[in-house]
Amino acid sequence: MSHILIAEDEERISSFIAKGLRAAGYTPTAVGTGREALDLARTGEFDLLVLDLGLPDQDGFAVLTRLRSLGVTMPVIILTARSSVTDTVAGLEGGADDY
Amino acid sequence: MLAGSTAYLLLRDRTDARIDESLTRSVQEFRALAADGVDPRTGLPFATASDLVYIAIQRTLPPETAGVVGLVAGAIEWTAPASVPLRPELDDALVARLELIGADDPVRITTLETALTTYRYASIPVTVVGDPASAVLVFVHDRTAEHAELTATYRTYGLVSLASLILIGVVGWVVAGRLLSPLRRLGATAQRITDSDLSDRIAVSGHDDVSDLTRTVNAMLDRLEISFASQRRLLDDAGHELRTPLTILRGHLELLDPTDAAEVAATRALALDEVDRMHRLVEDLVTLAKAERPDFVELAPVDVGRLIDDVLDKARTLGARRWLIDARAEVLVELDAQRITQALLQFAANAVKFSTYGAVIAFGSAVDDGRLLLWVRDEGQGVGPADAERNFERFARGRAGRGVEGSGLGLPIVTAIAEAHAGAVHLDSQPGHGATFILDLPARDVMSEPRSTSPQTLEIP
Repeated sequence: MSHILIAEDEERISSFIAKGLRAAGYTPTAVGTGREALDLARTGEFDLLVLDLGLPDQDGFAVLTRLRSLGVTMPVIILTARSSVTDTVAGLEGGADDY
Repeated sequence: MLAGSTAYLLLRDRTDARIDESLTRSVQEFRALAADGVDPRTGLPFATASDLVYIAIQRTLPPETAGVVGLVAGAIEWTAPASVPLRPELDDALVARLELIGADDPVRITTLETALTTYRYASIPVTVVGDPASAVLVFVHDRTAEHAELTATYRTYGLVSLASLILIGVVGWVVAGRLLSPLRRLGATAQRITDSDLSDRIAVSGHDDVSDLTRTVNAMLDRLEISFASQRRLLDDAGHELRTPLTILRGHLELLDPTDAAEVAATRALALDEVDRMHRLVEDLVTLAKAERPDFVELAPVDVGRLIDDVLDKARTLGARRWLIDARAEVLVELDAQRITQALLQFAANAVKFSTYGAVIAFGSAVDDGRLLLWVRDEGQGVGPADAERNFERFARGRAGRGVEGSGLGLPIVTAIAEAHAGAVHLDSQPGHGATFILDLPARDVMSEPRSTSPQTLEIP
């Protein structure tokens, strides 16, 4: 059973993502801030991070960069409404596995 | 050039008149000689017409462009001394004409144009009593030669005029070209600028009218660029903000189990709520877009004291708080009552959002040094300096964590309303000590001095 961490400040979005993941047989955990996301991701209990860019306390890019600099190699998928090419490139160059 | 041509024609006429005058004088002198009738060589009266003509020719000293000739019996008999340059007898066409003059013809001044030149001459048929052979004395002026001098003068004049015109033209062309080159560059830059790239500016050089114009156009481009950029940012922001409710709607509908009645009901409520949120967002965007228009606010004299009372009545429906009035300025000020009400209610809604049941929220108004201050004060958690700035940005929710409703356009709309009144919005706050949002407006057209301002806080039951 894979554990998936969801970092998304809009509760109504994380709720349906969690619901969909549960339906697919995963175990999701949703957090609303970058701080919580970093703390949980570093525990090594999660197999995937679904990361939003517009978090209230810090930018999703900052979370990603910090995570990689700590040597955490877990796969990260950026899930966001920000669809510009520069954001996509920044996300993938920052170490995300999908955007 | 025109003046030169006119003067030339006038002087030509005068030359003709002078020729005629000279001819007439010659005729008169000859008449005087003939009337005297005495041959100076013999002391006796003239025996022949030929003698009379000869003596007349000897006595004549023609000017440079004139000559004299005498005919006897229809043929050249006497010519002027060799020192006279004009030789009428050498022009066959003239001679042929002169030979036709008969003894009975009147004294006459005539113009004749031949292949060589144009003559103006006076012909005087001469007869002497007792001499059967008649003679003709002819004084001749070369009209062309006399005009030639004048023509030469005016040809020089014409050439100088033409050269001056060309010189002025060339200098004018060069100077105008230099003066107009900034205008051409201005035009070229204006053509380069499209609404996708407004960054180009025209280089300014010098301190003349043209560089002033260039600076004015550059300033206009600055304003255009800022305006376009803000519109584009508004659109980007709006698109991004609308995506969130759309994503929520799509996600929840996609994962909805239609057979689960409870889940259907919950999703329906959530969907309606999200649609309301989009509706509010669109309304706010329309308001912000309208703020760019000149008719965004319609100014009319407003009784500020009553306005504050009305706003307070409306605000009370926002939540169960202790609604107070700090101060009431009793003045008439030119305002848009509806927009100001909207702005103050936005402040009040924010205060309600970040306070709890029974907390103090107070309205106030005061006139200070030509400014009308309208404020909403709360005693909530206050705002830090970083959040204070972010509060006025679009879609930035300073103190809002998750779950606090709002389009993120409230304070930007208030700012637009204040700016449309030529005023500003201030925030006076320290974390933990509440916040006061202030509308700072010019108190234009205050029609009455402040009647009374109640400094004490009135509690409204």
